[in-house]
Amino acid sequence: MSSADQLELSPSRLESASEQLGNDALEARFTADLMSVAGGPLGDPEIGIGVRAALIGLGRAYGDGFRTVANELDALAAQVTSTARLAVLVDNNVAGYFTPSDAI
Amino acid sequence: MTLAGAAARFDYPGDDPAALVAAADQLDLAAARVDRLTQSIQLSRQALREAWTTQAAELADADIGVLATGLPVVRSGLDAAQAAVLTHRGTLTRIRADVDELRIRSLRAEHAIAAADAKFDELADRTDPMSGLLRQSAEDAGQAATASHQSVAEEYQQLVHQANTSAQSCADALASAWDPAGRSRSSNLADPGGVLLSRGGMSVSSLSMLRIQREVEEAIALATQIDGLQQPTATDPALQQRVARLAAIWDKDSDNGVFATRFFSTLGADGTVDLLARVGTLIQPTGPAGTGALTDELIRGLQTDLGAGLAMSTTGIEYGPSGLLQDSMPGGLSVDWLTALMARGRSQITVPWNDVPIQVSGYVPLMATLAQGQGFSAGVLRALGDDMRDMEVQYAANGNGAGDTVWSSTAPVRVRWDWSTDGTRFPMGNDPFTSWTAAMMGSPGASTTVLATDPALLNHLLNGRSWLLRDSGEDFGATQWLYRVADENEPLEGLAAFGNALPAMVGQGALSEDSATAFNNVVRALGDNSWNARIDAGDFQESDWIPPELRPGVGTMLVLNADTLNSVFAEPNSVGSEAFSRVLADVAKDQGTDANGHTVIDRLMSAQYSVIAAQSVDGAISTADLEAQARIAATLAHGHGAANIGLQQTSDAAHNASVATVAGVVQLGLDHSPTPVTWTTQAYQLFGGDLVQGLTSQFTQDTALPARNETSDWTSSLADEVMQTSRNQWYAFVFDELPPPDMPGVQLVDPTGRPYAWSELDRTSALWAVREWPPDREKPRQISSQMWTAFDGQVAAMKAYRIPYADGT
Repeated sequence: MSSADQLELSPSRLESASEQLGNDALEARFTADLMSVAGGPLGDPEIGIGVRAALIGLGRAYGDGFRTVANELDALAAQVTSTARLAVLVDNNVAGYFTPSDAI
Repeated sequence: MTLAGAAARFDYPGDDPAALVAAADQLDLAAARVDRLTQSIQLSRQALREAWTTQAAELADADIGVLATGLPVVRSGLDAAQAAVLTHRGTLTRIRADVDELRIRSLRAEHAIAAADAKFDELADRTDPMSGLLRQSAEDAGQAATASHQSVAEEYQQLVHQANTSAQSCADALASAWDPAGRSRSSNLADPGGVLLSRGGMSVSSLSMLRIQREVEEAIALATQIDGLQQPTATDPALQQRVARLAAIWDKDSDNGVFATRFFSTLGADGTVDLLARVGTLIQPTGPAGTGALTDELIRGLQTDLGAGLAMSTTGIEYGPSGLLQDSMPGGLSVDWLTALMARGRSQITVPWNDVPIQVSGYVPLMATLAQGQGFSAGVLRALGDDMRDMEVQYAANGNGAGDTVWSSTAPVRVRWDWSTDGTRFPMGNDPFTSWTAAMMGSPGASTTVLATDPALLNHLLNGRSWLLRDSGEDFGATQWLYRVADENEPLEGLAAFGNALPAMVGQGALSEDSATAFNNVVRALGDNSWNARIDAGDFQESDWIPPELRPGVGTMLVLNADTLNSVFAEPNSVGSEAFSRVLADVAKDQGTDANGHTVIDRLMSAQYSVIAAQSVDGAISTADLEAQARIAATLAHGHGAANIGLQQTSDAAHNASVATVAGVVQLGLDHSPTPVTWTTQAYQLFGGDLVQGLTSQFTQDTALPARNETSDWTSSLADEVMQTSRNQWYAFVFDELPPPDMPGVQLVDPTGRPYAWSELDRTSALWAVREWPPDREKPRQISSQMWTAFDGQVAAMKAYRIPYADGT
């Protein structure tokens, strides 16, 4: 990363974006949990074919998918935070470019 | 619950509609959460853009962008699932109402049956005339009620069927909502969520950039910690664990170009070659391999994954119009990286071997690894080939040796650089150009382009380089012998491998411009004496103008391009007929047979027939094509004859050395000659006679003469065959222009309607056909004459390629 790149960072805004991403992860995880019980209300029919198994399959697939989304969003949030902090640390060692930040 | 029991009680078929409504509501709720997530992610994306505008942020933003565009697709899947559930629910609700009605009708019928039974019983004791009528009425009423009840049961069965059909449709729609390609039914599917994400446009590679970054960091740390100089290398548990972990990471990401690119770019070109060398020397080619975590399979897998990774990450490197390498697409490793890689390939690097440091050219482990990859770009293959050729040429120019001397390591025995080969072939990995050939074979299309655009490299491989691998001094057994360690008659296996790869690398000239050019380049390199110095170095009969190792592969390449061959022998192209004649004749010296027992002459003549047959169907055949066929046959006969005479000379020498009887010599000669088959068999049979008897009776110390006689007979029989075949082919082509026979006894077609061959016609039919022959077409007799002239002319021309026989002919 060049020093010019570092100057474009806004650590406080990055912290905010990271928090936002964390919330997105929570939302995705909630959706995943919701989908995981998609087949719940259904029982086996007394006669004939039921769709419970298909609903459970759907729910498991969506649940897994949104959990993956949640994990990636969490990782991205952590990456944004750590990069912001790293950038400030590096900035501390670059004469003339350091700007104190209340976010760190 | 049995269907009969359920029918008796008229149970509701299928799921509870109320529960289905609850499930649909749950899906609706989830859809609403997805909407919220989509909006929220848009806000996060905006926040990130405003806070962070560096390249890294763009990468992260791209991930979120993929999510933002993918989530609506996922949302539509939920909508489809909910709609399917509600449709199913509507169907079941209607069916339940119908079942309710059936229950009432069933009760009514049961009551009517009971009433009829009671009435019947009541009338049982009466004998008056009215009682008979009343009994009949009760019986009729009972039968009608029974029929009604049966009808109700049948209708119930139909409703159950409808419910099942609806459930199946709903289940299919639900499965399709998350697995449209039906991949969940495949045993390979481990992650249904991955299917979902894929459908939503959220590729694993995109979403996993951060995971990849973490894994690259770990893999790099492991790669740099595989310190080959620590001892003992193969039994150090910590080292074994590091290699196993590195192999596991690579196994997981073996098809991930992003991972591969980041790994190699971070490791650097020098580090990459060094790593490949260290991996190749971790365990011995023979001996106590497989101790601990390090096994042949593990090393083989890691090497394969690394080769695949190098292919993926360099796929954008190609030659531009200016003739220089360029990055033709974004992403992937750069030209500069490849340039550095080649520099490291040329250098000598030090690696441990059996706990002793040895030196090896970097190209050896590098190419042994690339041999495991597939789909390399033409630019990469050509650049590597050119660079290695330059190195060999410089070595030779400076008097530093050739072949294995250029690349050899200082190891006391061969290192098994290529872990894909079995124990009997492992030295092949010591020759980087043999490994390069494997990489070319794994890169269809690109390899053709290389041979089409780089005739100098092709010439080096066919004519210039030494494919010699010399033993390193100690004899560690047959599995470690290298080529031609015993005598000069041992085959060069690397050269044979290159020859056998030619058909696949060149392809069919008719299919692509590169293939046509590559084909011409190979023929020019082998058949033009300004390229192939062997031509002027020895007589055709007594020397190999084409190395024997190359002949089978070149033969197959010629068979593949029989149509081009026919065109060239009809009208020479830019390469010239002479080069084609030399190559064709020398390839015909190969008397080996393929898996089907066919000689190269068999296969080439069969291919020629197919070419003529195809031209006949297209209406494009001409007498020039038939003449070309005759010249090709004559050329093949020349090579066959030369090989026969050569074999006789070999037999002669063997006789003088060790065999006491003339018959023994002849038998030895036959032993050297594979059993003639098909074409060759026909020819032998046509000239007739017992070969052993014939040769025995004529045997002298100069067996070239009897061999010449045999060859002469064989050639004549081949000419006869070609003349007859050409007549048949020409007649088959002209047949459509003949009028329907108008005289008795003329029979031009067989009972199935297929035209007879000219040689199958009886005399009456043949005479009639000649009389009715189109005036502007050559008649069969003329065709025979023309073909003989073409054949004989070519035979005479080919005599320039051999020394006179003992009798001066």
